[in-house]
Amino acid sequence: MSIRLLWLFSILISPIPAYRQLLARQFQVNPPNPNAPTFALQGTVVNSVTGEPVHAALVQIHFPRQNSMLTAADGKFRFEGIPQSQVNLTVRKPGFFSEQELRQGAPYVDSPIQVGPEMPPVILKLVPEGVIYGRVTGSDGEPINNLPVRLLYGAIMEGERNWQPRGEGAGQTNDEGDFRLFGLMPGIYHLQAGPRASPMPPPGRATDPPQGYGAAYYGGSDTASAAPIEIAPGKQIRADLSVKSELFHQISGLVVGAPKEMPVNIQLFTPDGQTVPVGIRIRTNPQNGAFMGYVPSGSYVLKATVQGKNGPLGVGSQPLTVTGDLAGIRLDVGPTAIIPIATELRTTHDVQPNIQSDPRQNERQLVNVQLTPQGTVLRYIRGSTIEGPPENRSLAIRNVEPGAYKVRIRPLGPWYVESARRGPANLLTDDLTIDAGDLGAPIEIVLRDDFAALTGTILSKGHPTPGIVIFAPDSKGQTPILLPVRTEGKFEQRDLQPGEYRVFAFDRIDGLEYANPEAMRSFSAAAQLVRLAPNGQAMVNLELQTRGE
Amino acid sequence: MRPSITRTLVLLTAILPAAAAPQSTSNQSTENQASAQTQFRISGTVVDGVSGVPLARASVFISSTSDRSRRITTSSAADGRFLFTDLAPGKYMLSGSAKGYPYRMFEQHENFSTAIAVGRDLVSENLALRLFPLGAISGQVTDEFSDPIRSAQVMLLQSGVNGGNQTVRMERQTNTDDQGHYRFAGLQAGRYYIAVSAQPWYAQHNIQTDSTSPAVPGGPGLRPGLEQNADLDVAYPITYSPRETDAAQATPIALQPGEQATADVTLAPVRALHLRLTARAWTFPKT
Repeated sequence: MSIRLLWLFSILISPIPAYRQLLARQFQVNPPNPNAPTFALQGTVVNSVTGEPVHAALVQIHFPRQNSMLTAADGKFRFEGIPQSQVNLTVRKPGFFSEQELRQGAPYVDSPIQVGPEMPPVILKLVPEGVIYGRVTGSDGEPINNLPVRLLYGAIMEGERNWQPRGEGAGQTNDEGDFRLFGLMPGIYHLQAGPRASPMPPPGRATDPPQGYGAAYYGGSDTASAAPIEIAPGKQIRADLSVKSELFHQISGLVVGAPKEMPVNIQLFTPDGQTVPVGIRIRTNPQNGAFMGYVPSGSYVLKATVQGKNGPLGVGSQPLTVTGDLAGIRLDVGPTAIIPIATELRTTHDVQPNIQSDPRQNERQLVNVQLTPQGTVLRYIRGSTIEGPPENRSLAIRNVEPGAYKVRIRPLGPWYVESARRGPANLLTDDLTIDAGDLGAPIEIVLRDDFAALTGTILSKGHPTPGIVIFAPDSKGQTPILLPVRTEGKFEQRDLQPGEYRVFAFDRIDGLEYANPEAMRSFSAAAQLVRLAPNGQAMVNLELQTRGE
Repeated sequence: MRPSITRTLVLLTAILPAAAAPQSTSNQSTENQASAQTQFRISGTVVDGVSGVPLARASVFISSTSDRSRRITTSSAADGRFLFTDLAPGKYMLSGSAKGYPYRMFEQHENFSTAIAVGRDLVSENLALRLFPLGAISGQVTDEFSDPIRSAQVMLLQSGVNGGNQTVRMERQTNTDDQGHYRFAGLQAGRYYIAVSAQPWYAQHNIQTDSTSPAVPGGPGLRPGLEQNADLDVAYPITYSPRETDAAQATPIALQPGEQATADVTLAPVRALHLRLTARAWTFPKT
């Protein structure tokens, strides 16, 4: 096999500063048709909080190719030579979020700019980022350096709040005990510092247990009681923390049931499943499974994993509350489970997707199944895979650790999930529970294709208007459906599972927990209740709910 | 005639490497039992070598030059004073450290130090153990618009003599925060340089490969990408504080003990060149 490699490097050739040209007040676009009349697109980039112009912001249009320019000192920009058309403008600058970035992937309604005669100047807004900074001190008031500092952000993902690590910055205190975490979107944050073992034992105490700092939470003693820090656009909040130096406690025990000579990895987690930061290690003896380490006081989950080539071969975990030395901890490692998935497609339409006629039907994957651990230290499983020999292939999920999971089923075709059960458990409403030594009973999924259709119009004060429609099923276990409606306010959704829905229309949905019925209760007066029969149709008019900026 | 010396320190040493910390420790009470003939003392005050201010809670160590593996440790009092008693006659190394003050030997100069002779008619008290505070270099990196540059790579280079040659080596590196700030702390006195590597966040290179281009016979060439504004095709050269792009002309920072130096850096863009490098084709052996 012959391979040719090509590298591209950007290097410097000219000592002549070019930046004087960068803040030109306008940029000439090369139009696709030189004979067509062209217009200037001009405007100002402003800080959404202060209203002040933002200089040196990068404004880009894509017509016909990419055209970029930096705003001048007064925040103004001007693109010349644009034919009459609709264009989209983007803007960005470090320290700010654009509207698109703040949506975090949530659907939105485009607002293209109509270029033509007598076009008014455009105002583009940049939202300033938030910052959390502060100092970590010991009980004697002295600053603590090199201490891990972490922010958890309550992000809204698919309409549900999830806590995720967030924040740019060093991630630990400097020599003055200071930390600074930036690049924060508006929202709710939890701040945590530590734990960390001292890098060196105190002089003369080389054989003592290591000393260090336990975890400290801003405004609380643990993750549950920690005070939330609310970041508004452009907000910079000081949040100081105090940590207490303590001698760590020795924990030791035995991993039981792991295959011999297989490497066992032992990890320490907080009770809510967060990995305990670096600096605290637990050593294992692969010969006899003995382990030993030092940890600060606190509540943890200790987990042993026997790692195979394609995932964990065995796992075991044990909750711990450490207030002193703990010996004789037993970590029973059991094999991970294989959960078969049986799917049945009940079709009602005359024209079938190529399922029934496909001789390789059982090779076709009708759904993808994801398992999301429920507040524990379990591994997230992205999807099911096809298992077995070619003549008898089936769908299954491998390497499932004992524990509780939320099941997400994504149909891979024009059908929906009518039911999903494992034994007596309804997996559309209940968690999937895997016990140690699970016998691998199958998940049975029934799929149907008798979708219903819903049409309608979004109205604002009686006039059709763009917006985002949310179809929130009343049936627990179904995921809400989002539909951006771009023009004239008219919409049509043809792939709705039969059942009851609450249907809303919003101008924007970023930060909205639309999958949480409690969070949506305050909008219940604006919802239209719709009942859809199999293969049925209905029509609604929706009043637009304005959430503002 | 009685010797007219105020401090009978026998300067001995020159071969005692200063940097290595002793390997083991023992405490004063253990040492008290070591010898029946111990009756001499080493005492003094730990002071800041710059200000002369006494340092409390400093760790002070002595070890015999004949057996440096045995170290005796004590801490300075609130007035900085320390005392070792019941010492056998001989020569001792004295050293110490404190928070913010790195380990240093008595009268240390570069890699050499001074031993203390203890015995009859030898004065080994009222010594001044000078510790020198660590310094720091911090600053802000800004761009041509006076905006802070975040996530710039800042390199700390130290100039010194190594193996008889003047060398400059990279000591540490860090990244700027959202305000363009960086900080290197815990630095010993010396000559340093600050260098910054970053790319303009707004740069639009957009160069594409073009297999049909005749730019280089026998190989693919380069052609403009989608971007129409060539003025944004820029890069920052590596820049030394405050704004020098020629390494030979960079100004060193002569950091004094305990100094908190500031070294801001301003970056200015230059036009980028796109260089194509083509590796000779090769063939994997068949297996």
